[in-house]
Amino acid sequence: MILALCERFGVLPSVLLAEDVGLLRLLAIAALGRPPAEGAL
Amino acid sequence: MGFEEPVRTATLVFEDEDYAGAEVVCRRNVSMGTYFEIARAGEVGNAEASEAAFRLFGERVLASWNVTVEGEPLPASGEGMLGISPEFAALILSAWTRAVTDMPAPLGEPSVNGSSAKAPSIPMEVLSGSPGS
Repeated sequence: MILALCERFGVLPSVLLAEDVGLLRLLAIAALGRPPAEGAL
Repeated sequence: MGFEEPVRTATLVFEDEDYAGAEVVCRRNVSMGTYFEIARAGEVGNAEASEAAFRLFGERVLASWNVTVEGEPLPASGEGMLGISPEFAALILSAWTRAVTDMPAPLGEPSVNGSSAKAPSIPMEVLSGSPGS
Protein backbone atom coordinates (compact mmCIF):
# COMPACT_ATOMS: atom_id res chain seq x y z
CA MET A 1 0.00 0.00 0.00
CA ILE A 2 2.83 2.39 0.85
CA LEU A 3 4.49 1.91 -2.54
CA ALA A 4 1.18 2.26 -4.35
CA LEU A 5 0.57 5.57 -2.60
CA CYS A 6 4.09 6.74 -3.38
CA GLU A 7 3.51 6.00 -7.06
CA ARG A 8 0.14 7.72 -6.96
CA PHE A 9 1.47 10.94 -5.45
CA GLY A 10 4.95 10.78 -6.95
CA VAL A 11 6.78 11.04 -3.65
CA LEU A 12 9.34 9.02 -1.73
CA PRO A 13 8.19 6.83 1.15
CA SER A 14 9.90 9.19 3.61
CA VAL A 15 7.65 12.01 2.44
CA LEU A 16 4.53 9.86 2.47
CA LEU A 17 5.18 8.52 5.97
CA ALA A 18 5.58 12.05 7.31
CA GLU A 19 2.13 13.00 5.98
CA ASP A 20 -0.83 13.27 8.35
CA VAL A 21 -2.86 10.09 8.70
CA GLY A 22 -5.89 12.15 7.62
CA LEU A 23 -4.74 11.32 4.10
CA LEU A 24 -6.25 7.86 4.59
CA ARG A 25 -9.65 9.43 5.16
CA LEU A 26 -9.24 11.47 2.00
CA LEU A 27 -8.44 8.27 0.09
CA ALA A 28 -11.55 6.60 1.53
CA ILE A 29 -13.67 9.53 0.34
CA ALA A 30 -12.04 9.42 -3.10
CA ALA A 31 -12.77 5.68 -3.30
CA LEU A 32 -16.47 6.42 -2.76
CA GLY A 33 -16.45 8.51 -5.90
CA ARG A 34 -15.08 5.72 -8.06
CA PRO A 35 -17.58 3.80 -10.18
CA PRO A 36 -18.23 0.29 -8.86
CA ALA A 37 -16.34 -2.57 -10.47
CA GLU A 38 -18.05 -4.34 -13.36
CA GLY A 39 -20.61 -6.85 -12.18
CA ALA A 40 -21.05 -5.14 -8.83
CA LEU A 41 -24.26 -3.33 -7.98
CA MET B 1 9.40 31.63 16.49
CA GLY B 2 8.25 28.19 15.40
CA PHE B 3 4.72 27.02 14.85
CA GLU B 4 3.40 23.88 16.42
CA GLU B 5 0.38 22.24 14.89
CA PRO B 6 -2.50 21.97 17.37
CA VAL B 7 -3.25 18.47 18.60
CA ARG B 8 -6.57 17.19 17.25
CA THR B 9 -8.14 14.52 19.38
CA ALA B 10 -11.01 12.06 19.21
CA THR B 11 -12.80 10.61 22.23
CA LEU B 12 -13.45 6.92 21.71
CA VAL B 13 -16.81 5.60 22.87
CA PHE B 14 -17.37 1.88 23.39
CA GLU B 15 -20.65 0.16 22.75
CA ASP B 16 -19.56 -3.03 24.47
CA GLU B 17 -21.23 -3.17 27.89
CA ASP B 18 -18.01 -4.27 29.56
CA TYR B 19 -16.30 -1.04 28.57
CA ALA B 20 -19.22 1.37 28.81
CA GLY B 21 -18.10 4.52 30.62
CA ALA B 22 -14.51 4.30 29.44
CA GLU B 23 -13.31 7.55 27.90
CA VAL B 24 -10.21 7.25 25.81
CA VAL B 25 -8.92 10.41 24.16
CA CYS B 26 -6.56 9.82 21.25
CA ARG B 27 -4.61 12.02 18.88
CA ARG B 28 -6.02 12.17 15.39
CA ASN B 29 -3.20 13.99 13.66
CA VAL B 30 -0.39 11.50 13.72
CA SER B 31 1.89 10.69 10.81
CA MET B 32 1.22 7.96 8.29
CA GLY B 33 4.48 6.43 9.50
CA THR B 34 3.12 6.04 13.04
CA TYR B 35 -0.16 4.67 11.69
CA PHE B 36 1.57 2.02 9.56
CA GLU B 37 3.98 1.11 12.37
CA ILE B 38 1.05 0.44 14.71
CA ALA B 39 -0.98 -1.31 12.02
CA ARG B 40 1.94 -3.55 10.99
CA ALA B 41 2.74 -4.53 14.57
CA GLY B 42 -0.92 -5.30 15.19
CA GLU B 43 -1.21 -7.44 12.07
CA VAL B 44 1.61 -9.84 12.92
CA GLY B 45 -0.51 -11.48 15.60
CA ASN B 46 2.15 -12.64 18.05
CA ALA B 47 2.42 -11.39 21.62
CA GLU B 48 5.67 -9.51 21.06
CA ALA B 49 4.32 -7.58 18.10
CA SER B 50 1.10 -6.81 19.95
CA GLU B 51 3.09 -5.49 22.88
CA ALA B 52 5.07 -3.26 20.53
CA ALA B 53 1.87 -1.98 18.91
CA PHE B 54 0.21 -1.26 22.27
CA ARG B 55 3.31 0.47 23.63
CA LEU B 56 3.73 2.58 20.51
CA PHE B 57 0.07 3.51 20.59
CA GLY B 58 0.32 4.55 24.23
CA GLU B 59 3.39 6.67 23.59
CA ARG B 60 2.39 8.41 20.37
CA VAL B 61 -1.40 8.34 20.12
CA LEU B 62 -3.01 8.04 23.55
CA ALA B 63 -3.65 11.51 24.99
CA SER B 64 -5.68 10.79 28.15
CA TRP B 65 -8.18 8.34 29.59
CA ASN B 66 -10.18 7.65 32.72
CA VAL B 67 -9.00 4.08 33.17
CA THR B 68 -8.22 2.98 36.72
CA VAL B 69 -6.89 -0.27 38.16
CA GLU B 70 -8.11 -1.08 41.67
CA GLY B 71 -9.13 2.55 42.07
CA GLU B 72 -5.77 3.96 41.02
CA PRO B 73 -5.59 5.96 37.79
CA LEU B 74 -3.53 4.26 35.13
CA PRO B 75 -1.19 6.61 33.23
CA ALA B 76 -2.14 7.25 29.61
CA SER B 77 1.18 6.01 28.27
CA GLY B 78 2.85 3.01 26.71
CA GLU B 79 3.17 1.39 30.13
CA GLY B 80 -0.48 2.17 30.82
CA MET B 81 -1.53 0.40 27.62
CA LEU B 82 0.28 -2.69 28.85
CA GLY B 83 -1.59 -2.48 32.15
CA ILE B 84 -5.00 -3.17 30.61
CA SER B 85 -6.29 -6.42 29.17
CA PRO B 86 -5.19 -7.31 25.61
CA GLU B 87 -8.87 -7.40 24.64
CA PHE B 88 -9.46 -3.81 25.77
CA ALA B 89 -6.17 -2.67 24.22
CA ALA B 90 -7.11 -4.28 20.89
CA LEU B 91 -10.55 -2.66 21.09
CA ILE B 92 -8.97 0.77 21.61
CA LEU B 93 -6.61 0.28 18.67
CA SER B 94 -9.42 -0.85 16.43
CA ALA B 95 -11.69 2.07 17.43
CA TRP B 96 -8.87 4.56 16.81
CA THR B 97 -8.13 3.05 13.39
CA ARG B 98 -11.77 3.55 12.45
CA ALA B 99 -11.76 7.10 13.85
CA VAL B 100 -8.82 8.20 11.71
CA THR B 101 -9.78 6.44 8.48
CA ASP B 102 -13.59 6.43 8.35
CA MET B 103 -15.89 9.18 7.16
CA PRO B 104 -16.44 12.06 9.58
CA ALA B 105 -20.18 11.43 9.81
CA PRO B 106 -22.69 9.08 8.22
CA LEU B 107 -23.93 10.44 4.95
CA GLY B 108 -27.23 8.57 5.09
CA GLU B 109 -28.65 6.16 2.59
CA PRO B 110 -27.01 6.44 -0.83
CA SER B 111 -29.15 7.44 -3.77
CA VAL B 112 -29.43 4.60 -6.29
CA ASN B 113 -30.16 6.36 -9.55
CA GLY B 114 -32.67 9.04 -8.72
CA SER B 115 -35.66 6.97 -9.83
CA SER B 116 -37.03 6.83 -6.32
CA ALA B 117 -36.74 10.58 -5.83
CA LYS B 118 -40.10 12.25 -5.46
CA ALA B 119 -40.78 15.05 -7.86
CA PRO B 120 -42.00 18.24 -6.22
CA SER B 121 -45.71 18.86 -6.71
CA ILE B 122 -46.52 21.74 -8.99
CA PRO B 123 -49.84 23.45 -8.29
CA MET B 124 -52.05 23.45 -11.40
CA GLU B 125 -55.41 24.91 -12.16
CA VAL B 126 -57.84 24.33 -15.00
CA LEU B 127 -57.87 27.24 -17.41
CA SER B 128 -61.29 28.51 -18.26
CA GLY B 129 -62.23 28.72 -21.94
CA SER B 130 -60.14 27.85 -25.02
CA PRO B 131 -57.16 29.94 -26.20
CA GLY B 132 -59.11 31.08 -29.24
CA SER B 133 -62.14 32.36 -27.39
